[in-house]
Amino acid sequence: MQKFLTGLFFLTLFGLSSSNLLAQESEQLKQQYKRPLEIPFPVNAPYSPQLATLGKMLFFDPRLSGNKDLNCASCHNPSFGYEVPIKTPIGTTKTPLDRQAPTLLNIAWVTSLFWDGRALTLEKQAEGPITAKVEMAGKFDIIIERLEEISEYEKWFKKLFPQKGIAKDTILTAIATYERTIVSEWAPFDRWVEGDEAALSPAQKRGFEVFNGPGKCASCHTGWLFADNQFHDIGLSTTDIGRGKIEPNNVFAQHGFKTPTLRELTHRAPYMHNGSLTTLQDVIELYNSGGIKRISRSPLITPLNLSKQQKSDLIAFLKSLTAERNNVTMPILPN
Amino acid sequence: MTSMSRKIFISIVGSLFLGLLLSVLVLHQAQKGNNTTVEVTRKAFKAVEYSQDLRKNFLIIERLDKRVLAMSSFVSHEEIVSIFNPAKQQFMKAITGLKQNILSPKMAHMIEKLETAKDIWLKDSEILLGLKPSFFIPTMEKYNRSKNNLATLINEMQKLAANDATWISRKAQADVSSSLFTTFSIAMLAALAGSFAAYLLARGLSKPLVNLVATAEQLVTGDTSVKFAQADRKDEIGAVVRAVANFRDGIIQKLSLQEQLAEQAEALQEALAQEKHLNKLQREFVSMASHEFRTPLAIIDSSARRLEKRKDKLTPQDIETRTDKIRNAVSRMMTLVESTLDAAKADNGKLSINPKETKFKDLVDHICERQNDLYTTHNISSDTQGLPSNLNVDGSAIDQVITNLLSNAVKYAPGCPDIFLKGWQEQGQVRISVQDFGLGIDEDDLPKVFGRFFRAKTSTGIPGTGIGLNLVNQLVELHGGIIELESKAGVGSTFTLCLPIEAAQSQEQPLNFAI
Repeated sequence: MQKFLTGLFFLTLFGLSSSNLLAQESEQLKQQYKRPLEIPFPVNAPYSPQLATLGKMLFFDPRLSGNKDLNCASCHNPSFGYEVPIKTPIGTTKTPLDRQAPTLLNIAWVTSLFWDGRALTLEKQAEGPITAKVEMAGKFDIIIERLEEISEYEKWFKKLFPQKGIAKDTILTAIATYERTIVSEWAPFDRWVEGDEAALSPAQKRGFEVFNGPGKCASCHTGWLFADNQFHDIGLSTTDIGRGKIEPNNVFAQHGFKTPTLRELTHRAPYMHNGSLTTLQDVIELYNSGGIKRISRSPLITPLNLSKQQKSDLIAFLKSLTAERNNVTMPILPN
Repeated sequence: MTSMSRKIFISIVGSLFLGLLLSVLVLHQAQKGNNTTVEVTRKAFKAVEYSQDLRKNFLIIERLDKRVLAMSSFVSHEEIVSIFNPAKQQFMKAITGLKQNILSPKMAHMIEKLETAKDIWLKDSEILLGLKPSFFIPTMEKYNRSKNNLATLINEMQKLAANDATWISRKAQADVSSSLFTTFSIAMLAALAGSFAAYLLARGLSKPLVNLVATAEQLVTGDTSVKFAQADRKDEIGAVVRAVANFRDGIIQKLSLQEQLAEQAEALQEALAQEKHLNKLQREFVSMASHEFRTPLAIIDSSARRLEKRKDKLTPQDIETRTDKIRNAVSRMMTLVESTLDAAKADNGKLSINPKETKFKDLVDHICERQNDLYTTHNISSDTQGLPSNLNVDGSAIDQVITNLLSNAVKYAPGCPDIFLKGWQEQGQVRISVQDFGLGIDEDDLPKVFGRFFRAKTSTGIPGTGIGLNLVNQLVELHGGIIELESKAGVGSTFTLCLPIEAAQSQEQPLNFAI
């Protein structure tokens, strides 16, 4: 009896201290998700409002595509988290592409571009879809010709690039500069991190615990960006080897794709690099199962055995990463 | 300079000096209050103005930021500079202005906060507008935070400045009011002091003067027993007092002289009035008498002439008729003379009665009988049953009264033969009324009927002296009685003799002639 009481006492003591520890950990965890207040710009492409404006105009200008039928926003639509609401985007040839359009949200913090990370700069990335034959099918000499005919473009290129004027790299720099200004708005989660306890519902808060704990989501979706700029095979059924193309000798690069941000997730369905999962429930179920067991699969991916409650809490939490409003204005294009 | 003039001079100079001092004080106080108010109000006004400037220029920059960050159209660097720089300059100027016109400690604290917020926002704004190169541009969230923070502070500052300005200008007004009150108090105190000094001075001057006035008023009322204070004063007042004292002595002399003169004048006046009265009576009597005597004399004369002319043809009858006429005229004249004598008696105040126990009813019956025999034209109906058989009266006087009343009734009722005499007793009085149905008397004339020599208007053409009724009235009054008269012109008259049953006093009474 005495032993039992002593045991109970120590158990209570331990419980108290452990709950205290948990609270501290939770606070530390929150700090890891603090948003940056500044957008980094590369030394060779400093920000200027005029350059960003020019980039935005070019981003929305269909004259950059071969048939003047597509612009960057055709596949990176601001209304859908700079993605498209279909499985994979359809290019100028009217055939679906192999991969879903990656979001441009918080792209300034993304170190390698494309799903497989084959481009290291935004400028380099932008060149791809513009010139790809199944996408915009643009040709830079023709694009430059077209833009030179538009006096306002000519004037602004001259102003911003007195030596180069309208050129391939100046066009790409402008677009990249605009893209770097695309930052996801403050979501309820951000306000919670800043200390507004009421910003999240109890379910969402529990979901955050699942996200960081049994869900293991935070293993790859790290920090405020909810992305680690790394490539992982998550066990998704696909013939696409992804990063394996860039790193053929790296076992773990096979079927590996860049971790995407989870910001504005609710606007960005369907999900995964190939748009194969239409709902968040599907995504959670995939991770819960651990997906296809293959050699390339990330060691971080294991069956989770999440409870129904944990799953729904997790989804509730993920929804807290979407901002209430998103003000994106369309530019008036020069003629 | 006399002592009094010196006092007045000193008081004037003192008042002037006091007034001058007061004016300087009031001016000084007003100027002080005014300066403070102007200063404080100016400061408050400036603070409000700068807080408005602050907001205005903040909004200019914010609008520019919004336009540029929308990236919907080009905004050139030059345009940004041309809008941003002056706005920033004004913005900074407004902050400096606010710092120089701090209205309250709260406002000072607010400015400190505002300066920090301004630094953060301006830096963000300048980077976003491309005015400051940076490889890290603020996110919209950061920009919005710094902007909203500053906007809140600017709004608060504007409100605070407005509130403080209102409060401060109110306080300044209150200060002015209180300073005005101070000024007013000083003025009131000075006025009180001045008034007291003036009172002291005035009392020194006016009190002896007031006393003197009272004395003079007493003198005017004739009271010469007044006493003079401060007659030994050496100044003008002393002189005035002495002058009034001399005046008093003069008045005393004059008053005694005046009294003597007044007594003499009064005596003279009385004598003159008596003389005038007698004179008037005489004149009236002479005019009346000459008229009254002329008629019987004319009758006597004509009868005598006829006798003389026709002395041969006259029958004894004729002669008798003529002599009767003459005798009648003589008798009338006799009556006139008698009544004149009575009047003269009355004039001399010698009319008197001698009342004694008289057989009154028999007396009245006798008079009626006698008079009835006398008049051929009229008939006197008498009822004397109610009369006492004895009464203490002067029989001859009563005879005279009743005869007079009856003869008047006959005389003034030509063609109306009925005359009623009635005697009765009433309320301790013996009453005898004589009623005729003749000419009557005008209402206007009624009060004058008993006046001496008065003839009523209705009596025109009827011979009379105006003595009879006057004498009757006097005789009745001597008996302690009165004559009541009821009359109406054209209807007739009723004279009622009222005598007290108590014994009439047997004494002579002074006569009072109502002229």
